Amino acid sequence: MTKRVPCRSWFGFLASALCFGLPPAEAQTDAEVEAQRLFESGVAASTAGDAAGAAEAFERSHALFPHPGTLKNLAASLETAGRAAESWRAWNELLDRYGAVISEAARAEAQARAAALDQRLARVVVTSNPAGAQLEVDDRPAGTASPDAPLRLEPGEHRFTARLEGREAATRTANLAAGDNPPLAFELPFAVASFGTLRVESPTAGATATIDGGSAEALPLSCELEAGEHEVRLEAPGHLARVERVLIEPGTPVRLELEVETATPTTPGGEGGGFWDGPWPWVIGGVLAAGLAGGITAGVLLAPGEPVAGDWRVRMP
Amino acid sequence: MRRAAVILAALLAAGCDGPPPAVRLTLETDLAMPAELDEIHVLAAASRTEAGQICGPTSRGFRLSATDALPLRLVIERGETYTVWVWARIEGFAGGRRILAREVVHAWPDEGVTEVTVRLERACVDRTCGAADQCIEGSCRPLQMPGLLDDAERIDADRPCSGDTP
Repeated sequence: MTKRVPCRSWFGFLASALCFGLPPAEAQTDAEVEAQRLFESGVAASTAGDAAGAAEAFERSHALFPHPGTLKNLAASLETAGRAAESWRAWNELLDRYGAVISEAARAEAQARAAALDQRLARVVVTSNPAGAQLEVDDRPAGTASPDAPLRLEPGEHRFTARLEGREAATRTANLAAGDNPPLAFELPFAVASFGTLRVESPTAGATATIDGGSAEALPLSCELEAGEHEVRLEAPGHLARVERVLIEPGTPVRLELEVETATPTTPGGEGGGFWDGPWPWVIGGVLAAGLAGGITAGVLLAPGEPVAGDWRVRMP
Repeated sequence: MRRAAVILAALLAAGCDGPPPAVRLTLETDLAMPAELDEIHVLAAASRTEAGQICGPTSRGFRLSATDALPLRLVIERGETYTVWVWARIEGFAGGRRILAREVVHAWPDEGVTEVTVRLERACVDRTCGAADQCIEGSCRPLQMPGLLDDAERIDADRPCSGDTP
């Protein structure tokens, strides 16, 4: 019973498919060569009666080099291994992806096998609110929750998890019978812990803040933001705009008190118009000058250290 | 007297040190100011590793109120810790709307000043590139450090790049 007729019947198809489908060895990429090796390994495992091993090899081969022959062999191996739901999905993937290129006979056989498997499987519609949650069944990815696409699973108990960004994940367990089952609907509340409070203040009269390119808001401003980095742009009439990035951590309030500089001068145009952003170079210069005022000329000390001219100067730590 | 001589020697030594190594960005544009480009924001940071572990970026905005507001020269001096490379993002605005952005990454010079010219080009206005790309001369080209600010773990939040940044 383990040496299934379907597997054997695929070999001829697959051999010919591979001959025509794979490029010659000298033109193959490493992935293609590995895919062919895995395919041959799958054939050997199947011949030896190891359907599970064959399915694994065919699955890896198909991932490296998608091919209708490999997928067909995978579907058959999964069925032989007793993994009806996965086999049903593989048959349907074969029809969806390659239905237009495989033979009419192969297409009819895939449809018949998928239909026969469907009779043995449990069907359940899983939805989420908000829509679009990613599903996991028994801790394995199972696509997107959709009222239009019932999941096919082996009858029995399964663990369903729905995840959606910004929402709390939800998990339920259901015992499914063959055929149609009551739908599972997930309500996904906001993930409160993924938000933090940002408060922006400024002593500058008339200052407004724009967060992440939104509309300008008067200060002080408090808002709930998703965890992560955000851009805060502060503006005030007659002042230079200031942009800061702030990291919001879940549940942790952040207070940002910002001053903005007067807009004079805006952009120095001349060669000699540079100014210092940080005070330290001049403070040090002043100390030097004061200390040397008793006898050493400041010029001797300062000439070699002339800074480069610039409209903004910043010293990194 | 001896103490005074030591102090004097120390001061002389300090005075003979040149300015720290620096990268000077010169910002140019072929856009008309302020009609087409009226504001520039510069975000700057430096890294202490090759892969990118940066101090908390510091920023500065410039209103471009005159037709000759550019070129603008920004001098970023190397410090003691973040000594591998310097990074800057320059964003151009028109009427409060960001119309283009450029990022540059440059290794610090061992000494002196390295000149880096950044052109804010008309060909890149409102040009959308992928998250790992940026527009240069009208074409999307790979960023040297894509997503640098997207990963909080790559930013030393407790170490601002500028002393005056909170």
